[in-house]
Amino acid sequence: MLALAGWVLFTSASQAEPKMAPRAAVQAYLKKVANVAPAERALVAVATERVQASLKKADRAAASDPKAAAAHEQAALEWVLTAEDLWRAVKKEGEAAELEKKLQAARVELSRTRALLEETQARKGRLEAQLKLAEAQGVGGAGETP
Amino acid sequence: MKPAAVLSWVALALVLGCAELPRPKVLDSAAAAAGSRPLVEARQRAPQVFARAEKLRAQAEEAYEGEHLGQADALGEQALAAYQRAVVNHRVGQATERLVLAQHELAETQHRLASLSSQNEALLSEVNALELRLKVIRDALPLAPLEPANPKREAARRSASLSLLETARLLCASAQLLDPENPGPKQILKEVDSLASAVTEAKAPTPVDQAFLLRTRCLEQLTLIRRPNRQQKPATDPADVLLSQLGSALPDSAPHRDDRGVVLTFSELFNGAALAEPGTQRLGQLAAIAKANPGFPVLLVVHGARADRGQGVARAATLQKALEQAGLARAKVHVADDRLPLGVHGIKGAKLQDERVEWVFVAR
Repeated sequence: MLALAGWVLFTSASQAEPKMAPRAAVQAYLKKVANVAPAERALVAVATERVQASLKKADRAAASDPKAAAAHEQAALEWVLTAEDLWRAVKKEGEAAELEKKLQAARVELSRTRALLEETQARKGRLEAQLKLAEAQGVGGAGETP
Repeated sequence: MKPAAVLSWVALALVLGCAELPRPKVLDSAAAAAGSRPLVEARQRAPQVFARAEKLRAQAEEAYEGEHLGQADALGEQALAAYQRAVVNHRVGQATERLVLAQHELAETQHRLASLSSQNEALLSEVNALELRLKVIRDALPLAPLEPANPKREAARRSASLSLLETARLLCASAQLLDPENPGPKQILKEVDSLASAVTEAKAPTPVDQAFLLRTRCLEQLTLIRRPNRQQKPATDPADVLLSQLGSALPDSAPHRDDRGVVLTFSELFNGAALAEPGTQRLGQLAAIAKANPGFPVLLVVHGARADRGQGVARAATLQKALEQAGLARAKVHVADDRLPLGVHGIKGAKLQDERVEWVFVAR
C-alpha cells in the first residue's frame, strides 16, 4: 500500500512532457555536466554524447529544414531529461540501499534484544526457584559454615 | 536515338523513380528498443511514459513515409530517448518502492525494539530485586556456631567483625537518611554499637557471625525502604543516570555504585584538619550536583588512621560545617576511622591510601 502511494507520487511528478525552451535547457545541462564529479559525469556519458550529436544535427538542419532542426533540439532535450532521471534513479537507489542497511542492523539488534529478554526471563525463573529453596532452608534452619 | 537506347533510358528512369529512400538507422534502433526486455517490464509500471515513446516512434515512421528524412531521424532519436527514459523511470520507481518499504519496516522494527528493550529493563529490575532478596535471605541463614581459635585467628576475626559492623553502620545510616521516621535502623544501630563494644573486649570466640547478621539486617532495612519506589518505576533507575553524569563531570574520583548508592572517593581534600584549596572547590562542585539531585541524600564518610582519631573527628566537623554552609539539609557525616581500610597494614603507603573521604549519594 505504502509502495503504491510512493509510486503514484513519483509518476505524477516525472511523466510530464518536456515544456521548457529546448536549446536553453540543453545548454544549461551541458554546462552542469561539465562541472559535476567525474563519477557522476561517467554515469550519463552515453546520454550526453546523444545530446551533443542531436544539437549538431539541429545546427546542420537549421537553414534547410527548420522543422527537422526543431525536432532534433527536442530529441536533445529528451536525452537531457533521461540523463537527469538517471541521476535521480542512482540517488534513490543509493538512499534505498543505505536505509536497507540500517534496517538490517535494526533487525540484528532486535534479534539480540529478543535473545537477551529470553535470557533474562530464564534468569528470573532460576532466581525464583533459588529463592523458594532458600526460604525453605531458612524456615528449616539449615546451616552453613563460614 | 536508337529504340534500344531509348528503352534503356526509360528502364533506368523507372528503377530510379521507384527506389526507397534510405531508412534512418535510429528507426530500427527504436523499434528494437520497444521490444526489449527492460522496456517490457518498464511498460507495465510506467505505461504513460511508454505510450509517449510509442507515439513519437509512430510519428517518426509517418515522417519517413512522407519522405521527411530529417524529421524522421529526429523523431526516431526522440523516441529512443523516451524509451530509455521509461526504463530509467522504472528504476526510480523500484528504488522509491524499496525506500518506502524500508522506511516502513525500519519504523516498525524500531518500535518493536523499543518495546522489547523496555520489557527487558523492567524484567532486569525485577531480577535485581530478586537477587537482592536472595542475598538477604542467604546472609540471614543461621550459621554454625564458632569455636574459640588461636590468638592470631581471633585477631583476624575481630578485625573482620569491626569491618562488618562498620559496613552495617553505613547501611543503616543510609536507610535513616532515606526514611528518618523509620525506627528499624535506629534499633539495629544500637545493637551494632553494643556488639562493637563486645568485640573490642577481645573475648574468644569473636562474634563474627552476629556482626554478619547485623550487616544483613541493615541491608534488609535499606531494601525494604527502597522497595515501594522500585516497584513503582521498575524500568528507570535515577542512580544510573546520576552515575553517568558523575562519570562525565568527575572521572578522576572513580564514581561507582555499591549497596548504599553512588560513591565518589577523594584522598586530597584536606590539609591537616582544614580543607585544602582543591578540596573547597571539589566540595562546592559536589554540593551543586547534590542540590540538582534532591532525591539523593548525602552521606560523607571520613576514613583515617586509628591513631589520628582526633583528626578524623576534626575533619568530620569541617565537612559538617561545609555542608551546612552549602545548604544541604539531608546530609550526614560519619567517621569510620580505620575500620574499613584499603591498604594492607604494615605495607609502606597503606596509611596514606586509607586516608580518604567518601561522598555517597544515597540511592532511593
